[in-house]
Amino acid sequence: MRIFVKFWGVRGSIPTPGPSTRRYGGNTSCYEIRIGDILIICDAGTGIRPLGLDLLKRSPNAIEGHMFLSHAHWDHIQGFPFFLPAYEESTKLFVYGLSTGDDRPHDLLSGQMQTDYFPVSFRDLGGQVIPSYLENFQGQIGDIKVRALEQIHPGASHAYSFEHDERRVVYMTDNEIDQALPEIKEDDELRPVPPQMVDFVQGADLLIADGQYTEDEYLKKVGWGHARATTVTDLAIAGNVKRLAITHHDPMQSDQEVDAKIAVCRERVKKLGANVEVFGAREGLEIRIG
Amino acid sequence: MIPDDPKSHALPEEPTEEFLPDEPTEVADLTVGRTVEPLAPAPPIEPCKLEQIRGPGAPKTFVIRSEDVIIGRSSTADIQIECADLSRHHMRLKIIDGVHHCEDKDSKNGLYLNGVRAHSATLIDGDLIQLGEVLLIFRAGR
Repeated sequence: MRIFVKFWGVRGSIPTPGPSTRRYGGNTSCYEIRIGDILIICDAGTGIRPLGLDLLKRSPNAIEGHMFLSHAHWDHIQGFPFFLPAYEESTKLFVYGLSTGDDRPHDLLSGQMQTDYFPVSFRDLGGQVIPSYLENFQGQIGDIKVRALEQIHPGASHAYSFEHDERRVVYMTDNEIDQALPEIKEDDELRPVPPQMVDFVQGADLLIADGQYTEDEYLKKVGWGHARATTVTDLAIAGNVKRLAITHHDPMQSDQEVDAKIAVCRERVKKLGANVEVFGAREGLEIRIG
Repeated sequence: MIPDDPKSHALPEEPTEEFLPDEPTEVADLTVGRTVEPLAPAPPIEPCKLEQIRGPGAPKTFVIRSEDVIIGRSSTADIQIECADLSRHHMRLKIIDGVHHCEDKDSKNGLYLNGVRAHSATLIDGDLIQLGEVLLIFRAGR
């Protein structure tokens, strides 16, 4: 069965509409993964609003989705109150915690709809938003195997792997891999990225990963929770990933600057003699696997 | 009963006139007491285009006037490009809510958007679409 992945929001930190970000887009994190009839939504940044509108247009039947949040920083949840399918009585949305009883993702989604933050109460959503659980960072949705991994980010964040029929998509955002390196330097050798992350992405058909910063940008933002695009590239190389979609583009980066960031990563792949296909995640782009 | 004649309610016909100023005239701006130039008339709507810059028949420009167009090798495609690399129906170009989208029609050689293999994508002006040997530039029109 084919896997379809669509990028609905690829911007990091804050929405950045405007002419300089028109090509890659300004909506914050949201990704749609479709495997057969199963809909998986990764993160609920502002990109979830156009996803919701599209789902309502294309779904003749009730919408059922499985939602995984990398974490609850604003740019990963702020679109949820504008996700129109959640207002439809027929909608069922399963929001996953990492282990049994972990209601935190569900509670954070509902918490941001308290009156202090938003005029419509979570209770007024017509649809069912159902807390659901992985078992100790692992689970199954139909024939899809789901795994989670703790990452390096202030307040913690998690990556997710979705595997079906020997095809695999990994979503890994807000992960400051550079913090795990013995030193931060520009170099032409493969960086010693953490082995547990290499295992997690090993052989993935598509790795969607946060590569927010260029080398220079990162030096001013160490500890802010995001990786250098070049370090993410090294992770993809070390893990024999087939395609790497670099995402969570910095809000200060124009389309041309994202192009330049990606060009540096492609050059690095060549220098290191690898053959990972690297591209910049772009709003509205849909990838087919298989 | 005599059926109501809608014409009986109509106001007497007056000659109509299209307002198409052929040269700007000065108009008083009452807010500041100065005169300003009136707004220029809106430019005419231009349809989107695909400029073929590589492959058989290039250079060539296809003007897209329909909201749903199939591009391929077949004579049944809306835009036929006779190139062995193309599938019979290779790509669909459609407008949804005023936004242009391209979609791979399960072609053999795939659809590449700015060098990235894609199943579908929203398009913006200047995007490069590669279908086998054929290279097209998307021009959004206005």
